Amino acid sequence: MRIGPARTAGLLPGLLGLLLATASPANPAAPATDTDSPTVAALAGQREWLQLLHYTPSWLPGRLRNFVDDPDFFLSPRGPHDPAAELAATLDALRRDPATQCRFPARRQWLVARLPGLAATLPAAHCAEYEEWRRVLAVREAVLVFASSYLNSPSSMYGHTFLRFDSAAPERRTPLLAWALNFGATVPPDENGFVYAWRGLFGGYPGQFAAGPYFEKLREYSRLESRDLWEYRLNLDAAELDRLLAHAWELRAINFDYYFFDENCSLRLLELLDVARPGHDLADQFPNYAIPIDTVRAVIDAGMVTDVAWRPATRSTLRWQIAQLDAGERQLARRLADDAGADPQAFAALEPARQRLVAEVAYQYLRDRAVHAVPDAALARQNFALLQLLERTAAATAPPAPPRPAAPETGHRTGLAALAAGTEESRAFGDLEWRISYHDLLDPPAGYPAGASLNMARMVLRLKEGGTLQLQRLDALEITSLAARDQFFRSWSWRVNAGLERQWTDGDDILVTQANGGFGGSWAPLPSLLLFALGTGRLEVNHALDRSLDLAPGLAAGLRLESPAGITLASADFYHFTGGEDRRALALRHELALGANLGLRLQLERRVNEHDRVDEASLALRYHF
Amino acid sequence: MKRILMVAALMGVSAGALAEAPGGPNCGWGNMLMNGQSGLGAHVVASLTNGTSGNATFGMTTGTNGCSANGKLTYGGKSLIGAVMDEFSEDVARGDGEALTAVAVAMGVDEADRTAFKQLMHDNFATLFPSADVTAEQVSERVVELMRSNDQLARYVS
Repeated sequence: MRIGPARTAGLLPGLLGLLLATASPANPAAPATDTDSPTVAALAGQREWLQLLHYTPSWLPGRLRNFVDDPDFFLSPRGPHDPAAELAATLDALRRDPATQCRFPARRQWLVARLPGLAATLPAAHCAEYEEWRRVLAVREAVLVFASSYLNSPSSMYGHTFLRFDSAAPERRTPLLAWALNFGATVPPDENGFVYAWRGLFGGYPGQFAAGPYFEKLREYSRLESRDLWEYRLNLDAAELDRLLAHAWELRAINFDYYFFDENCSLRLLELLDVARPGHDLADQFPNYAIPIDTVRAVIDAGMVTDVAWRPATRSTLRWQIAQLDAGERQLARRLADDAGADPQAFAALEPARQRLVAEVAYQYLRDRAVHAVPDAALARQNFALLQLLERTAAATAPPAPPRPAAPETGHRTGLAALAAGTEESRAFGDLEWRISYHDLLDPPAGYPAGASLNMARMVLRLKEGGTLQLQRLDALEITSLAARDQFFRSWSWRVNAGLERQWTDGDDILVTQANGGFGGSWAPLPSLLLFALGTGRLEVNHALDRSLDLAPGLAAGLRLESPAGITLASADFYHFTGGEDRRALALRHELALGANLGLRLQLERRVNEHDRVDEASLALRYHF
Repeated sequence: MKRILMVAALMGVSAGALAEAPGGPNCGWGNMLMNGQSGLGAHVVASLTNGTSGNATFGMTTGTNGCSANGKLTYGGKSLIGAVMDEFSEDVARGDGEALTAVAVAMGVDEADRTAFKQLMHDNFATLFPSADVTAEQVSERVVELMRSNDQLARYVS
């Protein structure tokens, strides 16, 4: 950072010029070191100051805590808890050291606007690095980008959000050359793999903002992880963008607390938007956890979004193109992907537009497979041969773009409350269900990834005939990922679940602690029908079993059918405990959507073991809030 | 190094737009077709954390990676075509696409001339991509050479 000794501050010439012009030397700002000064105290209590410093109310009334976990962000040792001390120290440092103005341009801007006369008392600062950064970014517009759910990674299961800054510079004015500002963990280079996996899963890396080219984000999300991107264009004006970027600069290389399971990249972005456009207090709407799509909804509800664009993942487009092929063309495309010279007569016999579609599918399919392959000479040759094939067919009509699916923010909301009435063993019961998040295989599917179920913190309380109230189940976590296998994609299906649940054992209804998982395959003989079969395993703590901690391998199979009458899920489960007990369960569930956030669900279930045969039927009204 | 100097000479070491070779040595050059992907390790890192590995930049062109940032076909100090080689090759084969647009935009090609740019690249697919082991450096050179020998587009590289 270079400081020009005798230059006027050139940070934001227009704005500053205006501020300097209105500053009155006869009205100097309050003494900087005086924390008790009424001006300082009043300013430090303002929401905008608290937001610039990332304070948030703590559990203790009247106390503040801070999300920033980095002494470099604070100018006062008391800064992390004391906004007034930090404000006084900031004023002091701004006056003492021109570098502070360059380090904290948003704080400077905010204070100068509120303390008439402050600007005149500040030393001249020439913020070369900051200005160069702003010049390179040349931000014209900001876009909030939502990357859809990715079940294979704990930090991305609920999706992810980041900001994109579109440039005003003529040689950068296209989305691919925009910059992305992302909040995520920062991993040291050459980190040991095991340490990485552990800390990646359970936290331990600091979170930081990082900016990089949007095309790298596209490669990461669209190509490598096959996640659709949704781009929400924001209506931030020049002054708001200026505040946002000035504050983002203050957060450069600043460490935040970062926890993966309560995903907070999205919360960090809301804090930036709160600084950009004060008054909406977006971050305050999420005191406990911030599910990315809920934060997108909050930004939309605040009137900040002008339009929504969909950018399908490479594989989404490929899957759609495959679906446009007939069986013969599909076979041909699949063979061409392995050998670009396969069956030239069959290829030549196709209409030009079909040739192009087949070439597209063959090429994209090879690229899709190559994403996770180690590149070698043979793969490169085949890739090149298909590229040539693509070029030869390019004169024909391009295949139409895939139809846009329902946008994620139009899907059902993420919380759930349900009331059910039913019978278990001919005795009536009522259930009250509450789920913090997110979506299961029967919930209204619009806006959510197909074949995916992700639920955390689900609780069912049951009131039984006769007045007994009991905890029926408590799921800490439930994830199911059913991805259909076909001649192109050898996807795996899997599920995990852990929590407390009721199991009839030896004639008693027992609350057991259990964890189970499964791994297998799914097949889609029709677009609306998915069949699945999994090998499973279960660990259960249950004092009524022969072994109170027992392990059971098992099998599960079922089907999921989408029809105009709703969604049907039928499943059969079998477990054999090492202590000898066998357990079977058959279930039929059907949900009829009554609206985007309302559904009626019928459940029929039979559970059988050596001593018990329990039939249960219930009807539930489910509301997503 | 010698080759890069030669390219710089070809592109006209002058006060002109391409005063320096795009990028520089050790700047992500030599990316061959199909080698542009980051490895699986880097992907796992990124997907587990939503984060970045190593020198997390802040979109600054100066600094850590030893690249010259003055060429037009650079982005954040890296070779643009090297960074989007796969996407660019596909788009050239098709004659359209976002990566092709991005290269046109980075070269300063006005909107009115972009169709001509895309057509020129597509018509010369075999020149740009003569083999599977063509490097990003060679492709970048040829993009410039093609533009130079085209009446409508020469002004962007003179």
